[in-house]
Amino acid sequence: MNAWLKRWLFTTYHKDVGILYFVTSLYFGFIGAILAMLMRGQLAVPGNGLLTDLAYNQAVTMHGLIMILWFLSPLGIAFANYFVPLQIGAKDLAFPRLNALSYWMYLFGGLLAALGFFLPGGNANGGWTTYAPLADPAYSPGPGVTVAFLGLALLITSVTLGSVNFIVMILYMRAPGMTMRKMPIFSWFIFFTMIQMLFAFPTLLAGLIMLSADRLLGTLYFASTSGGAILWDNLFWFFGHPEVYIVLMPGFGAIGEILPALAGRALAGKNIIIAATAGAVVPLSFLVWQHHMFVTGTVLFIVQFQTFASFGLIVPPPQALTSGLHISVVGRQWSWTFIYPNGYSSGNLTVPAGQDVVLNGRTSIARGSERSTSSPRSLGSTSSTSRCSTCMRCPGGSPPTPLTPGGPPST
Amino acid sequence: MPRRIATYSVDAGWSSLNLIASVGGIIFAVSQFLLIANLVIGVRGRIVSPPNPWRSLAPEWGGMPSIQALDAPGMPTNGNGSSEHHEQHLSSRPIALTIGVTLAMVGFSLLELGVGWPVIFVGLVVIAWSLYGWARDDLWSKFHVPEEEGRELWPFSKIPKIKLGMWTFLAGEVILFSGVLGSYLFIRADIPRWPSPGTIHSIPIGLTNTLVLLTSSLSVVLAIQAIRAGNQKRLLMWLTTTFLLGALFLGIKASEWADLFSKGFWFNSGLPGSTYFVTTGIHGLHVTAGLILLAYLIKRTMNGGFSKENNDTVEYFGLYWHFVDIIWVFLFPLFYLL
Repeated sequence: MNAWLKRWLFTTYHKDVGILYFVTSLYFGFIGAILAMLMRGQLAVPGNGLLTDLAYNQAVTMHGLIMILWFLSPLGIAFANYFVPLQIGAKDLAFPRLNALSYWMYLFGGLLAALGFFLPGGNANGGWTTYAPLADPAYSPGPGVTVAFLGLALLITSVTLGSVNFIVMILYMRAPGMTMRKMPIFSWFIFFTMIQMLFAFPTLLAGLIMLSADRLLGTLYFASTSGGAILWDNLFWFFGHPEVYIVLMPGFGAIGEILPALAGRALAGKNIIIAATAGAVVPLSFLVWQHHMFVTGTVLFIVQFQTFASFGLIVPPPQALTSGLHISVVGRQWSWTFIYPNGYSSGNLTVPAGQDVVLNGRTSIARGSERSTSSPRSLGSTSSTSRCSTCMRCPGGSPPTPLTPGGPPST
Repeated sequence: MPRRIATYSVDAGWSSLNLIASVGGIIFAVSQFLLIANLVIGVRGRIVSPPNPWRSLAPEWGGMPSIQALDAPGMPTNGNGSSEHHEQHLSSRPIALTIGVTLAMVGFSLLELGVGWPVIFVGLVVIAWSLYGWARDDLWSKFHVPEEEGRELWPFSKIPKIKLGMWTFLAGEVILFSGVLGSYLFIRADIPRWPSPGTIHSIPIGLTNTLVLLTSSLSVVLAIQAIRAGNQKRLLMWLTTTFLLGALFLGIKASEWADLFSKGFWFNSGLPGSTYFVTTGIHGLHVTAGLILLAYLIKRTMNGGFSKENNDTVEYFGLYWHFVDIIWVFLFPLFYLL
């Protein structure tokens, strides 16, 4: 085998693995973009026949999954692989072969997810949140959907191994003199990302194992009416909330490096930014997942607690980061008349439970909460091409009239 | 516009906005080619920038002179020069293992089409071959990453690297099992009628399994003690005992499953069945993985690979084995006694 092929297939060197992640994530971004263009093409004119209903649902679902899990996060991991060892003075990651394994599992998991389009039944079509029981074999039959979920499980394994690798490297392999305090902000944010990955992704893996058991073995985890749908909601969003921070934090860290470098000044308030993220974002991110489920009939006390926790979570970091960046770039503190609205408005617009109930679960962070009764519903329409089986919003199973504005009825 | 509604009628009045959005999508897509073009031009390297063009203070640009351990100070190289002295870091095992797992997964998906088992078999063979190769690389020290002295280790100064790695990995595993066991509790809390203890799963057999696994944890501890005293033969004896006890556990578990199947209690016989099989199945897979690791350790002991000074790997295995045991200690009362 020639040297070039050997190098790129068998490498365990962090810079090479970083380059592999970078190029591969761009490819997956390209695939996700094609799916988006198909969606946009379908919606460009009314009554379009470019995509069938089922094909459109597949495009929506896979566009979401591929972009978030196979493009955005790996792009962050690419930069982490390349730069964090350089930033902390380590020669490589803690376990180089595991690092390579993480990369190849990421790539092949993505190939499996794409393979789903070509198998009978098509790819996953129940939204990127893959709500069960919609994702169960009764409503999404076929090997295509199963192979996509298995590819997702492979990706999760990749990510979990990678998080162990990075955490051990950051804690254990810093150069002499590189105390945690001195560590650059990008490495700090990657450290936070990896901690959240370690505790969030296995929950999704548990859910996917149970979902795959439902699909392959016929178990009844999500098919039964006892807790089935709400069980998936809880499992998924316990992963899903930290997930959004996992996607965000490498970007925050990168901004914290790039803007001060271009401004020629050190980042102001770096310690406070790190403290705010470590103290508020990371721990609280695991306590607020129910804000994606406000309309599912959760107990009021939990709703209140999670609303307050969500506020506490969302306010400090934008304030701290914006302040710091403004000081670095412009040279003085941004006026407080701008700082407070910046922090509080992001919280106010995304968090309140009451707003969510009034808008029937359609506010921005409660994006996934499409259940609007207090008990796990029994399942309505069984036709996989009808709109109704993909929306599942109707109490009692009676569908709205299709093709009219306003969508499904509110409860 | 609600998602997953594939089209709309002209009466809705959304046509012009959608068309604008679609045109915007096209413009956006075209703009991405600018990014690609930028990357390609940059990688070709015709325009070379000086080291640290942003005058950055960050260490990866060489801006933090107190860090001595960097290979190449200044701008990160693109790998043309750096690949040679990293030859010893090439390993074919990761990609081979991944291909095996991928084939197995494709096979599982194709089961319902009737062509799954051959593909699964090929996948398992590739997995076994790559794991065997990985173990051989370790046995013959073909892949060696030298540890460096004098690292900043706060707050974990007294813990070796792989031990920290194992504990971190186990933290993730705890979350995995919390998800699976938590789901069982969640489901059970919602169902008023569940089979009483002792009716489906035999408590004496479950208790036997518990004792078997606890004893195997003891034998691992005795193995660690033995090698710390330098006694390789004792180490071999206790590791083999652990292996046999672990295999016995799996055998008893398999007989329980067979018994349940023969009574018509299948995966889809209801939630008690579903939850029991999946939870004990995941646990059983972890025990199996532990036995595979143990086989590697036994082989290495037979090769004389452990000594009084060099025996940490046995302890790391012990940590994993104790973890698997503790999960069972939770599983047993929740499924057998409640």
